Amino acid sequence: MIIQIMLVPFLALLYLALLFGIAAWGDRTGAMRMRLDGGWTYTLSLGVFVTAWTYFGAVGQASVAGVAFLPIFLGPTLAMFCSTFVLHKMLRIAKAYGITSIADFLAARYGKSSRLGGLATIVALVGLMPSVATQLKAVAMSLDLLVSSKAGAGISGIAQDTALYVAISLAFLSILFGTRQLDATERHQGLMLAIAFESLVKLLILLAVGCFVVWGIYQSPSSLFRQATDAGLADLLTFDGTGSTGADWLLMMLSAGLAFLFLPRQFQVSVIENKDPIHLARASWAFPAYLLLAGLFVLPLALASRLQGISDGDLAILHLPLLAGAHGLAIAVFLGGLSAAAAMVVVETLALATMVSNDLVVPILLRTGRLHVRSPQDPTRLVLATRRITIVLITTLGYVFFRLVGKDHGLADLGMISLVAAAQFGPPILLGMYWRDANRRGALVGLLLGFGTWIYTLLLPTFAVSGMLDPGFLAVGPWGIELLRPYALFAVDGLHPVAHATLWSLLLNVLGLVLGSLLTHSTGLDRTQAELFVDVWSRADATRMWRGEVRVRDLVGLLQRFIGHERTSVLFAADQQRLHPGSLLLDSRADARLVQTAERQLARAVGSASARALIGSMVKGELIGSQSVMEILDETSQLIRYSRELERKSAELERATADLRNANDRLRELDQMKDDFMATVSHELRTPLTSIRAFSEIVRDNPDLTEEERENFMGIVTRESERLTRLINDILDLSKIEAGRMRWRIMPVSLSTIVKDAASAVQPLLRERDAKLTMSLGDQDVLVHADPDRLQQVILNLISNACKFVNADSGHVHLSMEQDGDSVRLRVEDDGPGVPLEEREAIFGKFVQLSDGMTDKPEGTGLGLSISRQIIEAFGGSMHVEDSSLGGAAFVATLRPARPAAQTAIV
Amino acid sequence: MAKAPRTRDPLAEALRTQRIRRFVIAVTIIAFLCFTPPMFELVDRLAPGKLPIWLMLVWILSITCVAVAMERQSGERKGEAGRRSFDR
Repeated sequence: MIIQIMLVPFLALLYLALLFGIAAWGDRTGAMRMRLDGGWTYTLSLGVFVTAWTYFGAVGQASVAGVAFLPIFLGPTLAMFCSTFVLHKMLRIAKAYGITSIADFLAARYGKSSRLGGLATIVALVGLMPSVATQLKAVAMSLDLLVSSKAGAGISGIAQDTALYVAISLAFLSILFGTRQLDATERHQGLMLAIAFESLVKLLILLAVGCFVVWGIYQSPSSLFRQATDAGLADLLTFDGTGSTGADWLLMMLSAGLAFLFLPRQFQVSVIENKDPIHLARASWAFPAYLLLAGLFVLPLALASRLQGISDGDLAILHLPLLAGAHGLAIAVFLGGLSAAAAMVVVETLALATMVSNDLVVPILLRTGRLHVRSPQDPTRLVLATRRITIVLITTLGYVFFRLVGKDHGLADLGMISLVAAAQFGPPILLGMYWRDANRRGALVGLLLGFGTWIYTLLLPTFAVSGMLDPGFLAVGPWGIELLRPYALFAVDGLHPVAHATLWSLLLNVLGLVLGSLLTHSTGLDRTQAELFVDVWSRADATRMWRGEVRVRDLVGLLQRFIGHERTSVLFAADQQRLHPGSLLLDSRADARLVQTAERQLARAVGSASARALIGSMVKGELIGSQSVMEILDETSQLIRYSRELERKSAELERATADLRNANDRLRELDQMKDDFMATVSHELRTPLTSIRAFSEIVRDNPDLTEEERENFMGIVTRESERLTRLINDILDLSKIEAGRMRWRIMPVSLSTIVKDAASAVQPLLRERDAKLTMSLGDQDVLVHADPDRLQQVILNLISNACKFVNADSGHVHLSMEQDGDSVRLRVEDDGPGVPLEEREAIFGKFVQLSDGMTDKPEGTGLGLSISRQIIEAFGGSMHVEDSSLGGAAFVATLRPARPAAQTAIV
Repeated sequence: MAKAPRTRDPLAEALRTQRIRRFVIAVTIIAFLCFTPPMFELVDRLAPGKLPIWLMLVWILSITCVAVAMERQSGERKGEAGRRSFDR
């Protein structure tokens, strides 16, 4: 007996020492960069979900309700199938923003709210108390059974209570494992290796005991099932045998799935301890396979326990080998259970201790001034001490809960209470990851409602069942109000208490979150964090701007105190490379990116809310108040106004530049035209001058010329002189008109009179050309606005121009005049070759002359038509050329008629 | 699930990942439906006492389907990572 009493605790200590050794070895190999943290290790570490209450309690539950134990296996299975969506995003967020725990995740998502982080921590602390109690109960009962065969006989005095010693041992183990380092985001490779090992051990033991019972005791599964059917246990193989409704089943599956994702210890192993997201792909099927294997023999063991007449189903897994005399296997079963409990307590307390220190204690210390950025005290020791005290507190709470209610509830019942509590983190996290409008107030309201409902519908009834509350509380509700019965809230009756609590707590949680978010306004930081979380794939590297200044030296000092000199040096060395290659400028101003990096590093040690508070107090000395926000807004508005003004002036400048460019182009064009004009004028002047000079020299140098020759030559000189005179006159006219210096005497004039005078003037020319002039001027005289001299000049020019091109033998020039409404049209037509269509505009250019088809160069200066058009345009009219009915060209001048009253004008 | 040719084209890779994800969602939904009480009652009526076998069968089949899909995806990712490191 003494050997038995000593052997089992000794083996237990040996096994725990082995786990510790594995953890230490894992840490050493991690330091040596050996890879022991692949996908399989990650998958097995998720096995921490299978705790002592699943290990022992599933068989206990199955022995009375058949497959009713399965929702806690199937919920996580389905959750893992979806891990590429939910867990993957959680992982990305946690890694990107240095998240340290589930409370930190919530606080960071909802505007780095320390209040929400604190509430989440309290929910976790209280909610997981039953789960810790379950571990103590399971280990204590199994130890008692092995050592003294009296498990379940009742709760003994404290000094003789095995659970107390189990609690002390587990707390000590947790402190040893979990509080050796401060950085909560730094992976615990050794611990995870130990967890993976214990997951493998408990799985192998479950399979071993299953195989032993099915094949060792009952020879085959079919034999076992046949005997169970014969013994009237067939009900346990049907859904009716579960005693659950369909709603119970689905709600428990939902609760287990959510708890699997959001239990603090699961968050710790699946998110914080994850090294590579690719491991999720392996775990998404391998962990369900693990659960499948863990649950494979639960029902056969339950059937066997019923067949063997074991009354306490929770310890059936231990009783069965003992009854068969397999003491070694029984001890192994105990070690498996101890292993599951130890792993759960160590990881859970590690996660909870981080939450308590980062989201509860540090914010309070900062708020009360006990911890300050400029304080000389070393905060590392304070934080570690907080975590150690928290571990003791958690195990103490678990033990107290066990003492109070443990004897009245099965392992599975107590375990499920914690799962429903952990499921309360589901709505704010899931909605927070996918819904931008979910805000801090909504999350606070939802979590408070969910947590409150959980207390009311699950926790308080647990105390009532144990007789600590009035039994009427359960039967007729508080103050006799039946609608408030904890197991039938608002008359929703007929559900399993766990399913009932799941329904109401999650429903109110979601409603509170959604309505709270829709009915309240988000703060700026709330919105920013929402964007960062929802769009984590694209915004993970976004830099958040800090207002104010902080020196690099101050940041270095702060980080050294929290994360140590070595890591601070590494961090700043990288940043120094980016900012100041060459020398470290400690007194320079830290840019926004450096401040953000420092904040994230700090968040890894003390959580995002505390990190924000620490950095915020250093950067600004105080929180930004509404006045400061208004100032920022004013500055921003001012900047926007300046920006718009600049944009407007820039547009004006662009327009002015375009105008100047066009003007410059026009000037270049005019300059070119001027050059062309000067070249043409020079050429036109030189031609007659050359003739004059040549013929004058002939006359001067040849005194023996005949009189006839002399007259001929002098005639040429005279004509060329006249031509030169005309040319100079035309150029002068043109330059005056173009320069706007021409003095016009515009008045109403009789067009027919002007035409007739012009016709008389050109008679010699007509005769010279053998051309006839006909006119059709109408019956009534027409008055037009014009300068009479210049108008006559135009008509003479047009007639003489026509004379140049008429047929040599029977030339015909026709002049006509017609009034059409507000215009008077004067047509000068000839029967010459006409003007080609493509040259009808060009001929009004300067020095442009068309050949008459007989000579290469017609008479004239080439300026006549240009001057004529400009004169007509000066009178407000226009001039163009078109085909004539005579077969040649028709020059049409359109003039403005004058009022009849002006008929008295001078002509 | 149709087998897509392996390629380094990022668009094709993204489409393949999407296809695998859709497949996993479909498996999850079907498994969930098979794990619901109406299905259990049907099984109990058609094959009394065989509910545990049905549950295990669905569980194993769904795990196998997800395993095939996810391992193919992660195998390709590892291959890509290997090729990239080799390219360097």
